[in-house]
Amino acid sequence: MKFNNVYIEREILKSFYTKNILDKINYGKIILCDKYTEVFNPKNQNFRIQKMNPNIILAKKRKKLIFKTPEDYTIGFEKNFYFSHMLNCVYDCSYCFLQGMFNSANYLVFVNYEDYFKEIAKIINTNTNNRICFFSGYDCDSLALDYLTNFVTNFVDFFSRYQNAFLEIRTKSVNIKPLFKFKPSKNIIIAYSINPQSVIEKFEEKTPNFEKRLNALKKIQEKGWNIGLRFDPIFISKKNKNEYLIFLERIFSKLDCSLIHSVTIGKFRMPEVFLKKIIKIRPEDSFNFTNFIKKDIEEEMMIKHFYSNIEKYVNKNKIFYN
Amino acid sequence: MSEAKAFIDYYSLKKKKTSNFSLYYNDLISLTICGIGKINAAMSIVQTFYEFEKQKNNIWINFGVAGHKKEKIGSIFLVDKVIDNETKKKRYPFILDNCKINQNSCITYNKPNFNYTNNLSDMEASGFFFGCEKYSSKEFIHSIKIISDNEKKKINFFNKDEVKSMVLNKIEDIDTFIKKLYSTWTNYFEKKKKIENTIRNILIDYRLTFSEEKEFSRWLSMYFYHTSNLKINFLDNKKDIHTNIQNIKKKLGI
Repeated sequence: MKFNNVYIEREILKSFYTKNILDKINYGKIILCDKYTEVFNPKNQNFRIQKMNPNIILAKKRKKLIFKTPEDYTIGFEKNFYFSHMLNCVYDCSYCFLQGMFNSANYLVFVNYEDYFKEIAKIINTNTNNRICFFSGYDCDSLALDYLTNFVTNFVDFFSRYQNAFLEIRTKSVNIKPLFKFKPSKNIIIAYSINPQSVIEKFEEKTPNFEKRLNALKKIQEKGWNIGLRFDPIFISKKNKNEYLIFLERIFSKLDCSLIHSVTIGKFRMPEVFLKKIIKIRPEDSFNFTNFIKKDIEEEMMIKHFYSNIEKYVNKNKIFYN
Repeated sequence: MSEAKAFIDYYSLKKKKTSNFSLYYNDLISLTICGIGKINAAMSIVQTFYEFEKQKNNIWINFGVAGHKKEKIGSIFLVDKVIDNETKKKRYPFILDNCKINQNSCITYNKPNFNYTNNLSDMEASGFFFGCEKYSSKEFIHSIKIISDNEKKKINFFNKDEVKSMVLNKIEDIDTFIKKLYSTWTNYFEKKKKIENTIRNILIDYRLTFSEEKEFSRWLSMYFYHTSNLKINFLDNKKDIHTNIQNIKKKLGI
């Protein structure tokens, strides 16, 4: 991977992880900064223009390493948390909330994994009677840049020490090799965001196609790992209802349904402030966004129908409508 | 002024009559001579912005001389980090792909600095960046510095021809950089500006409240982007905007 510039926080310049990443990338110049926020946070930045040619920022996450998920979000665990070792994504999904949340499209990688481990361990140790899930891959794609971040190697190894803590690795990437260095771990769930090919072509630019994602899921499952299916966001309508049903058939005929850990369904949703910002920087998609957010009885019915079709393949208690 | 002369000739700029700062322009480019110091630099940004129709998100480039410990006189650099020596505030320009000009960081001093370091030293860049960020996006705000002095040598600033010819030697490289930036700008903003202007012209025919104007603009913008068609024969300024918005929705199939 090639970057014009690498921005590095002075404090982590000599970190092992920093050196490791620098060894793997081509870059024009290292520019030192005191805090990543100096580069990442300024308001007068255009996410779309930066997205054409993002730089990489290597930094230390100092505060708020782990967050609680929204109350009603679950895949069956009692307590749910999420964390981000990276902000921003190599893919360019038009519906992605990151472009509304961040001012910069630069890839921001936090290299102080030990601090994440400490925080996660603290939460696990104070919740020994609960089954807890930690979600990764909400502010980035967990696997897409794994060759740089070594996320899998570090976090799968860490979670393998715990019985009551689970890690969901959310991805669209088919970069699954790093997983296979490990014995399948019962408390890791590899969860794929997945949509029919026509939706992928319309809204999920630069992502692996449907068949590739399905093949990756199959391989992961065959190796003995937990897999999750994330139909989130789903863009079902009267027009493409049949395509979605054929899509389900294709998925469940290929995978071992009894071994699927969980399935989630979620409509497109976004805080209004993000939406406003996105429409400003990609006005050409304002029509799509208006359709996405429309509260529609028809869509609700389609989703119910979709849900009941999943029930044909997967036990109801594994299906979550978030 | 001597640095500016090379650009005035190269881009065939004509003088604009204003007070305070000397401004030159053609159809595409304007040049403001800000003088020495970061306050002048920041003030010249404001003046330029107001002189040229208060257009937001334009390209802004600062060009000027700088010192450096060992870099050769006449070599040019694109500033990739600017530090205000007084406030210690920093800015990091976003440099687009395939830029052929070498990068360097720049420290802006309040007074001439002859304690040369491996950073460029100048007296304007921080004022320029802090001024421009009110009016444009970081990807379009840049500073190019030409080395005028180093530990061993400095140009004769009073020799106008020497300064001008030093700039002329690099003007093609600078022009290439400007063209690339302009092409990125055009790709992103040209359609946007066209649509914004069309909407502005439509709104002239309507008497609307602030919120009505906002709502109507939103639907017009959606229509123009979605259909890539700037024809508006389905609008009727004798009817109220709700009817017109309904017409747009019909056209969009919403």
